[in-house]
Amino acid sequence: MKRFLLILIAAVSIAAPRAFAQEAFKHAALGVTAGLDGFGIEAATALGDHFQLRAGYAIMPFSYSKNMNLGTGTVNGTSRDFSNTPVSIKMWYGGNGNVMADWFPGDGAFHVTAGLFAGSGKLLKGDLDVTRAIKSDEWGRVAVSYDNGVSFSTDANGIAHVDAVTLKVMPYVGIGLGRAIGDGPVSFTFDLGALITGGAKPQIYNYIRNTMDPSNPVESMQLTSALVKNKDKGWIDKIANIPVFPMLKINLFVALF
Amino acid sequence: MEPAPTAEDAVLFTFEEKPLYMMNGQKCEIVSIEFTEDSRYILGLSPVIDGSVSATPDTKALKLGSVVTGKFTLSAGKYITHGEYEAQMELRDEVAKITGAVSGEFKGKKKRSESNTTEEVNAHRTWVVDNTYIKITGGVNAEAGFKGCDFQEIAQFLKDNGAKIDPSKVAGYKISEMEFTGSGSMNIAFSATSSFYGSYTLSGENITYSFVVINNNDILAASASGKLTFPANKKAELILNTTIGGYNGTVQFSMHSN
Repeated sequence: MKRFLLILIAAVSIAAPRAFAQEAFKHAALGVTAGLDGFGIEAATALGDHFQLRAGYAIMPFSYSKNMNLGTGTVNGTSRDFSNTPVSIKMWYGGNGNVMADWFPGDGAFHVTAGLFAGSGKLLKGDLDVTRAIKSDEWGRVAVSYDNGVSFSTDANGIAHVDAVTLKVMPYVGIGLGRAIGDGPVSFTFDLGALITGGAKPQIYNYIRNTMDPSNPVESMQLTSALVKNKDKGWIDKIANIPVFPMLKINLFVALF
Repeated sequence: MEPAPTAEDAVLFTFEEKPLYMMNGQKCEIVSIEFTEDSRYILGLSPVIDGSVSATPDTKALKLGSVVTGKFTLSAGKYITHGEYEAQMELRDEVAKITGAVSGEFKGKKKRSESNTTEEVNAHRTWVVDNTYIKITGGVNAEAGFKGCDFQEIAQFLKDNGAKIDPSKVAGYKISEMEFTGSGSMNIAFSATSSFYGSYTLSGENITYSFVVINNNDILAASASGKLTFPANKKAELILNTTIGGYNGTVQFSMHSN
């Protein structure tokens, strides 16, 4: 991570004198984006003939909802029916801001890009409505506990939360086609790359102490294959250890000046 | 936090000549009386066995059988106790002059209570338990939060989750108050049963307590250690690493002071 940032700073530093010599920031464009990070807006400026700088924000407006069969489980000493549990999943919760630097090695549209994406770190945010299986006086007050000390509970409204959590600040590397600051008033660009997420680690939460006193933080713990007694055949751990997430974006820019 | 209202007048008087006190038909000797920082008194009692009274003053370790607690007021330098034990006391360094059911002058030692650190000033008052968090591991895994602290409710929860605990043995054990004093006393008062009483030490956030007066129960051990913190004004969190019903456990009390 440190080495990557040093390379990025060095590249911008080398370009900057030429950029400023060639009237950097004299041109700017505003665009809309669509991609695996959702829909967003982006602003761009040129730092000379070979560098462009982009900054933007995107959010995934859709969510996936379904009633799922989660079987039965024991809570507070009694068996509970989770066979028809409403589940809602959002992707890239809260959206991501990004800053990207494009380097054009030639005079054409091909570029190499490096940058940073920053957001809540929740690649997936899952909400399980277990209000029918869990009694109201148990919401946020009774946990399911395991031998290894891991435990989780619903929040005070009877919703259990499971998230796939990444780094909140994720480096990006990729390639692309097109110049945000082009010759004409409108430009199309395309990005293909990878976010270095550090792995999307499934996380569960214990709200008991937070329910007792909101000044106490919500406790979070990582969900592992061992915790589900390997019923997932190790897939939870395998997916959690994939350190990257693909990124594909198409962008439409309009020149401002 | 500001010191509790009677911090300036908090004292512990240990009797060498012990006044008598009748408690539920049992003759007792008053071993000590503590007037705390928060307008409470703690009367330390030792049962008189076989109707005999101590022949010689006992200035060594207290042998308490029970405590009686209540509130006191001050008037013209006299401590006036209310509730289960009603009397007026004038305390000098080595003599307590008592007017009440048993009147007279009794020799002993007076010691002013001290609050030297910020943690001690914060701790030395009466606390009301708002919520109790319990977690046990080791054979049985159970974790929950409860409003207030009702030992029977907690025991029932633990039993429902597989612990070998009998909730009926702790019927009526609802904590009404918890107090830490500058004389090193810790008192837990219950709504329908007698208090747990003992001593504690506080070093920074680290607390260790040991009860000398306690009823047999599976929820709160006779001694334990943990942390006492103050997350906000007149708020306290007492987290104890202890055994609960024979299992490794954590108890956390979230409390407020009036």
